[in-house]
Amino acid sequence: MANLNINSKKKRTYDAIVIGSGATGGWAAKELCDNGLNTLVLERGRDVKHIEDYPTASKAPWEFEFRGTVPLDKRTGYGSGKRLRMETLHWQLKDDEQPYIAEKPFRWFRGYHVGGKSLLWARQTQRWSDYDFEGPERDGFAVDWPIRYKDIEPWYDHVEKFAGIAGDKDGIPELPDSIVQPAIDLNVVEHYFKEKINEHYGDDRHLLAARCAHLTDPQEIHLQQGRSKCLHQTMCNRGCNLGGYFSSNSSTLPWAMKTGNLTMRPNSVVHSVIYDDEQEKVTGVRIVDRHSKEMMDFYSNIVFVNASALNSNMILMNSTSNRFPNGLGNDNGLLGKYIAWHNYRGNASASVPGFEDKKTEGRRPSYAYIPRFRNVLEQESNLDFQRGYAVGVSAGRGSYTNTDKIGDKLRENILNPELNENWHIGTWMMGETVPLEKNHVRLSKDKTDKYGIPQLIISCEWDENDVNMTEDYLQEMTAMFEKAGFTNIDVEDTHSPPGADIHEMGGVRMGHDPATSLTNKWNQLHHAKNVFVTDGACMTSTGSQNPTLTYMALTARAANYAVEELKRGNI
Amino acid sequence: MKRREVLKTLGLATAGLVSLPAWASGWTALDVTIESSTFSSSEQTILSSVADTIIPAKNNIGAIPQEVDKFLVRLFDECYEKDERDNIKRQLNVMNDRSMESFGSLFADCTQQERERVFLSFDGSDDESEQEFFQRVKYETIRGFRTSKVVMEYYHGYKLVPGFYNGNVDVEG
Repeated sequence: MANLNINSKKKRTYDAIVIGSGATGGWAAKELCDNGLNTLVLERGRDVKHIEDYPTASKAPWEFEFRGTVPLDKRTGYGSGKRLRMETLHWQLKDDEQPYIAEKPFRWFRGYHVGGKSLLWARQTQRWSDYDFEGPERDGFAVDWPIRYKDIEPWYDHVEKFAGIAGDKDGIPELPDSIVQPAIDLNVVEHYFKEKINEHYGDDRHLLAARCAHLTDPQEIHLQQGRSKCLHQTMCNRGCNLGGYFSSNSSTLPWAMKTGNLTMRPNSVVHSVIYDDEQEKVTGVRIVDRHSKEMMDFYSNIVFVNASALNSNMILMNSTSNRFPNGLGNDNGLLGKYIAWHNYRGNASASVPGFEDKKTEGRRPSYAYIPRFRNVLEQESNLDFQRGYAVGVSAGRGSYTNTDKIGDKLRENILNPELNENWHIGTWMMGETVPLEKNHVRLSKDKTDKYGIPQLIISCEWDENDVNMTEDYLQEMTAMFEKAGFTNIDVEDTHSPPGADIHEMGGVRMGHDPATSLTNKWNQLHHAKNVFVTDGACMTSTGSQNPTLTYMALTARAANYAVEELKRGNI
Repeated sequence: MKRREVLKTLGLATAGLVSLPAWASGWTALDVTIESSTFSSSEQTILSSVADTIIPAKNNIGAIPQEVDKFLVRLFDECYEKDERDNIKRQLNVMNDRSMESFGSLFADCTQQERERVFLSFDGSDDESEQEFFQRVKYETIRGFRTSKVVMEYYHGYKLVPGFYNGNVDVEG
């Protein structure tokens, strides 16, 4: 029996374990495998193989029997509040998969399948600048980031080359240029708006083609990944048969698999990271098998926690031992605290007269972007909020069908839609939120899910800073629209809940000082140096940029550091 | 459910709209009802005729050539709650009564103009369930027609894979 146990343990022993297979888990796996480490990726959800497991990819609307409506018998298990579509039903979580407790309104989006939200994301990518990294220090909120732009710059280069980013070289200090393939061009109205903004705001505000993780000019490295040019199907969140955008499924995971060093274990719900009190170190990861509900342990020298921000918090909080009774690495009691997200509350739109002779053809998977322009060089004394917001912009003409009548007239109207009289422009805000200690997550003391794992309690709410920032966005968009001659301006604070942005972060924040942070400048837990946290959980502040690019760069950097540390015998 | 199992084995449940077998050419869709539906044969006939009334065919383009009537039956059977579906069935039979009263014929046997008048009487009605029926059937007929292959590809220029975006196109004329 003892021999069987030893062999069994050996089979479950790896150089590295990665928790999660989303954007950052995929990158950890790729870097560790590229460096020759025998790596196990534990993914709680089912397997999703590139192309094979995209049942709705490249399907036209009429190929769905009910044109996207979900029949009643397929809706069981999903709460009535959910807006279900046949195109993406297979990514939806059943209600009983992971109940959680929102003490205050919070919308928690989860992607529980191999690839995670890297299959579902908006593919928008922007680099941070030192205006973002220096934010906490300059403005006196949060702790100082233990890194600066120069530390992450080579890793932005690294991940961008591999992933493939479309965009322009814009030369704006607060939004450093990416390594780019040709941008997906703006349309005529967006170009006009860009000119007007330049005319009225000079160098203070910029409208650009949004940078996004789509291949417009695939390079050798992308062909080697088996990916090809984006063809603008704009069905991205079904998975792309071309690999036209970056996802773990199309890119990093198959690459890691080709090294021969990767073992994927889907259907593995991580319960905790194992801290061995005797050896005084983390030795592995404990899972609950999703089907059999059996508990199993896996062992490794290094653990990468990439379960998605709140899940990474959960796992660490659930990892208790004599040394760490309050969760792994949680000597200072700050684990799970300073949760923040992005303010997506504001919308602003308008009519655009004067372009009756213009329309668009084709489709595009991206749009336009205005980098943060508030409080960039300094905290502006006339503003009643800290930090600022980026703006997503999209203009279009659209067409109209009068469906008032029935009969022949209706048929003719439907067959011959008319272009709308005016173009329309819509915008949405993406505001930085200031992390507050009171915004936190913690584990329930009495409620568990079907795997026996304590349910997550989420306690997060908006703050006055968010309200004031939203107001400013509505005012500024109104002013910018007016200066451009746009009409029918419509602005709204939607009061959408925290989490609706799907950019929740924090809880395991990076910092210089173990007394006030959980992870160091290399994303190592201060008190468990062989554990790395590189997804949204590590973020000390939120910036206004779409965060995934930064998470991926941090991951690649940390993974390569982990390999070096392992070689040096330090972990 | 057993009938769904049967449909699945025949590959009909997920394969898209029911299409006529080759030997049935020359039959119109109005003549072929779905055996397994909760809608009776007579109700399906009226519903087909309603769809035909809302979007009549010309040059083989319309609700019936695009099989929107079959889409409606399947949609109401599979995607609608029982009470909504029952209301639709009830109102379909009311339509027949109203047609008999006004024009001495069953709904499907009336002219386009007569059918339009009968159907439109539900829109102006004080009875909420009649209005609901009108809105639902009209909306779904338009949706089924608009998203059919011929309409999207041939009339709306839809391409599954456009391969490009041009944001500065001159409008002709």
